[in-house]
Amino acid sequence: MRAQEAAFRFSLLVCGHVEDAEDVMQDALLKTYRHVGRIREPEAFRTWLYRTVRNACLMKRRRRVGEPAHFESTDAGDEREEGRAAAVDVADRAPGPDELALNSWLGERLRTALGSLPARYRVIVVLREMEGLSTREVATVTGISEANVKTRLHRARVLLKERLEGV
Amino acid sequence: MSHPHDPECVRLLERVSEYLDHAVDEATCRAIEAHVRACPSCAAVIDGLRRTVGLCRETGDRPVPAAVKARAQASIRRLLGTKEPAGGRTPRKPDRAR
Repeated sequence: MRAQEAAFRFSLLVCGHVEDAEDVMQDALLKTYRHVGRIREPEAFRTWLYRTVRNACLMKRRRRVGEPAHFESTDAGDEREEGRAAAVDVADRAPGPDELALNSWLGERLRTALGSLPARYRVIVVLREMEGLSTREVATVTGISEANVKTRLHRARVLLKERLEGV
Repeated sequence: MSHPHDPECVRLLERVSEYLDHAVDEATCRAIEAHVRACPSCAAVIDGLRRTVGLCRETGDRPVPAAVKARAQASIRRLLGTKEPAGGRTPRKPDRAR
C-alpha cells in the first residue's frame, strides 16, 4: 500500500474526523517533502511518516479540545483519561456525509468506542491492530519501549472491549 | 475489568494479550488454557478480547471510503499546487523513497 494512503488512513482513525485528517496530512506531507531526502531506508520512512502523522494528530486534537497549542507528549501518564470517555467529539455533532462515510467504513460502534479511548491508547491500537505494525515499529513511532508498547496495547484492548460492550 | 479479583485470574489476565498474540511459551499457554477451561469468567474475557482484536484487524483491511479519499487527494493536490493528471494519480508522491 502506498505510504500516503496508509498515513491518511492512520490520521482518519486517530483524529476521528475527515477535516482534521486532511489538515494533518497536509502538515505531514509538508514535513515529508522537507525531510524525505534524508531518509534512505523504506522501513525508516514508514515509521518516520507514521510518527509525523501521529504528532500532527495529537497537536490537532489538543487544539480542537481547547487545550494548549504546544505539543504535550501523550506518553506522560494521564490516568484521568482512563476513567472517562476522552473528549473526542464523535457523538457531539450531527452526522454529515463524511461522518456517515466513516461510520459506514468503521461501523459506528467501533468508531465511537475507538474515539472514546485516550489518545495514547488509540494510537497504539490503531498502529498495531489496524495498520499491522510490529511491536518494534510501534515503539519507534511512539518513542516508548517495546515493553511499554505491550503493556499499553493490553490496556488498550481491555478498554476497547469494555467500550464496545458499553456502546 | 469487571472480573473477580481472584489472584490466579488476575495473573492470567495480565498475560492474555501475549497469549492472544501467540507470544507466550508453551508452558504458559497450557496453564492459561487449563485455567480457562475451569473459569467461565476468564473464558468470557478472553473471548471478548479476541473478538475485539478480530474486529480491529478486519476493519484495518478495509480501504478508506472512495469519496473521503478523493477529497483528501484533491486537498493535497491543491496544497502541492498540482493539477489532477490523467489517470487521477498525483505526479509527485511522498512515498517515492519506498
